[in-house]
Amino acid sequence: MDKLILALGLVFLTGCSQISLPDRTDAQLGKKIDESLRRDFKPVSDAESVTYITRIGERVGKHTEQPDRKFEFVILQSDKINAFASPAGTVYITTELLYNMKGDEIALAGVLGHEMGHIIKRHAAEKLLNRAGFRSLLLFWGGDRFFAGALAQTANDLLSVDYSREMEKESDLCAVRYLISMGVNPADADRFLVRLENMPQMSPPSTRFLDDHPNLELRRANVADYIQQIHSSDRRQRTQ
Amino acid sequence: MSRTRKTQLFCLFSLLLCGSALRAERFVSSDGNLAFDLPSGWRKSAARELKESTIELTGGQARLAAYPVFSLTPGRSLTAQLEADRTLVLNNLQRPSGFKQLSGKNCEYFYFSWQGFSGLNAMGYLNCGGKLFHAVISSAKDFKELSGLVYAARLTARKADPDFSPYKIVTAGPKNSPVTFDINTGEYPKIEASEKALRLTRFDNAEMQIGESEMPLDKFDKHCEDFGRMARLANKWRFCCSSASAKTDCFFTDETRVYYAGAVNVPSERIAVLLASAKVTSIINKNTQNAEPYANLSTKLPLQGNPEERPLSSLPPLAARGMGTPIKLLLGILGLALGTLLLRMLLPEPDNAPFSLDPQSPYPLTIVRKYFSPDLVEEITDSRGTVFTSRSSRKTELIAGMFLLLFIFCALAAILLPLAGLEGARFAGYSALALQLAVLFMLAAALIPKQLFLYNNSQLVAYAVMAPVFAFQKTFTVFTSEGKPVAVIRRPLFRLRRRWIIAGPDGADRLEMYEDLVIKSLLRRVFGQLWGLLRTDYVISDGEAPCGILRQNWALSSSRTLFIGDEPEIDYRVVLLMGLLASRVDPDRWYPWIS
Repeated sequence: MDKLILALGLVFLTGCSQISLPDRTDAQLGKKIDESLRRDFKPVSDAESVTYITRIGERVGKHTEQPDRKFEFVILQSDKINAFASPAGTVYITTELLYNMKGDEIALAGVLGHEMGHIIKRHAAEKLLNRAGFRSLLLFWGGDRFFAGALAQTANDLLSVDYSREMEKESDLCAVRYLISMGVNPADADRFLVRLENMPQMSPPSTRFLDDHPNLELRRANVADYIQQIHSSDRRQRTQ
Repeated sequence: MSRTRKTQLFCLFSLLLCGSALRAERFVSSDGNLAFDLPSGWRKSAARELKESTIELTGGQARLAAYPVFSLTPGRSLTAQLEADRTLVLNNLQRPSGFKQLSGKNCEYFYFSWQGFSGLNAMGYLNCGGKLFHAVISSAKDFKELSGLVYAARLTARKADPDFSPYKIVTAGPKNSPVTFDINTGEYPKIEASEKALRLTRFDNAEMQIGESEMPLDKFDKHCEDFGRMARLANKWRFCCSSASAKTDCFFTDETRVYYAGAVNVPSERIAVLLASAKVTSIINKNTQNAEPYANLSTKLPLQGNPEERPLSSLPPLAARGMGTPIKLLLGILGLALGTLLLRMLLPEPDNAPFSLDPQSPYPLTIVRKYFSPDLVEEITDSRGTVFTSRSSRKTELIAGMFLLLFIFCALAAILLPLAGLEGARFAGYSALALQLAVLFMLAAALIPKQLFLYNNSQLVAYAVMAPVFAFQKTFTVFTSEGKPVAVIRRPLFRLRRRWIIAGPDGADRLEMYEDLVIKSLLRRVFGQLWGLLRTDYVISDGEAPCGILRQNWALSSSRTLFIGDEPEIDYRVVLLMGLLASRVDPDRWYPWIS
């Protein structure tokens, strides 16, 4: 009976994954992720670069579902191609990724829009609860033999911002929506994925931005489907 | 002509002759860069026109060839170059010496030598006023002739010095934001570039090492105050240096990172010159290279307020995202659980006896679990309506479980409370204590021998006690209410099918009980009971043929029926105890907890 109560409690917790965490959770979660990232990577204070990325990021921000939201943009010194989103509203991009954008503002806006999509859709909080649910499932199933490991993993989840493929797809489409809303030609809206595909050195498997994402071909196909929907919708509106 | 006059003319002529004989011939390269005051007997060796600073001389058997070195191979120091040359000589089965240095009036010669068939050979580099020449001397008579040649070498003034190519060194840093220093290799001929630092050595007496410092940026000013000297360079780099004896320590910053320069025999003025050439280039790559098929399209964002801008609401909405895999999995398991529970509730209990039963027999015995008790309590009813109650203490396990729950609660609180902006640190301490207590009680539960008592109207009928030994089988001794041992029930471990055996007091096996399906037994060990789906019935055998069965009933609560056809010559209460022990050791759980 004791274990039954335990299991029910954990199932209840898992059920909470369908319920939104309060907004302040994002700030606290973001704070932890910010601390972790700033410990692992050194932020770049080069004024020209920071101004450049902030200018583009703020342009994208104005075309999101939350145009009044304040986003912060930070460049991290790293030779890995990567970008991160902290639920507190900070978007991180590595110097290597920025360099490999080769001055393509549209592609850079796409990458930033993708990360801002994660923030606006609150993927981090959802992922955290999903993970907690999965861990509780393990506990429920396997009992005390998985106990310590599952709890340790739940703690680690707080510092992890890797998202499910569904979430990545949603963020890709968010980025495309923001770009088109800014007036970018829909044909160019998947430019950031094309750039990633053509980057000379991709990140090693340990990095998150590319590793946890579905393959780029599939991502481009998803984006192409959505752009097709836009064209169809526009045609319908014109004929009406 | 007077005698005096003749003497004067002889002396003058002799002086002229001697002068011409003593005056050394000077050979100057075609570009006027390198010159040799040739010793007696030496001359230009080739009739062909030699370009730039190339010089080829002969003196008897001896030869000298010098060629200008405009740049060392990037990444290779002079020492490394000499080492490479020496390896070539070694490969020609010669025995070269170690590296040596000869200092003439104008030039220094860094070389190695070896004795050949026709004389002394040397190969190395002449450093004349910071200019490098690869110089090979072959078949010299002796060391005196060799050193004489070095002594004779000199750098001549030139209108436009062909300086060595600047040696660009890049320190570690993010791509396109390197710190670059333009170093004149002539000035610092020995250069070793590594990923973390650059090292400049003017041969063996000057050295400079630059690397990223551990010093945080905000400590830079305070540190420089201690040094007492700080300078701001034209390129906005700031640095400060402190000299102690021949060692100079400098810290400098570009306002993003702090670098350290440790220098030996390099004046701080030279360090300032070096730092003045440092610059950080932009992280933004301006070198736009469009990826196909966008080569001809703009990479710039459209201007703000352009006519193509449109509200997000005009775009098709995003499809609702499906549930995450863990949720799907969880829902699947919950559905399975509910289905199984419904099955257990709705399926009728089979009432047919698998064996013909003697009407006088106490069988079948129905065993029903009674919940909401700290002990494991089961009620047994025989065919005559006699009701027995079995009781087995499990308080230790309950306390262990309670602490386990407390541990989960505290650990989750310690993790989740900070997310809500609340203090959760103290729960981490509580969870650690709760875990320790849970482990303690789990150990105690494992060590305390299990006991099972059988009562009839609160009167003790019989009881079984597990032997407190660790072996490859669990052994329970069955006692009467007076404490007389009547049987031994044992369960061998590590069997594909769970098996229980009853032996008499003499040790001879009387009856055995084993699971009816191996596959269910194996699956249960992986997937747990699956709410009773993977429960097994037990077949009871007297050693020759099945004579009974312990059947798991389809019911919401744990319920079993014990049938014995041909009643064995063994007290039915002992058989009952075996069935109860099976339930005690391997209880029926309707949640998937792996036992």
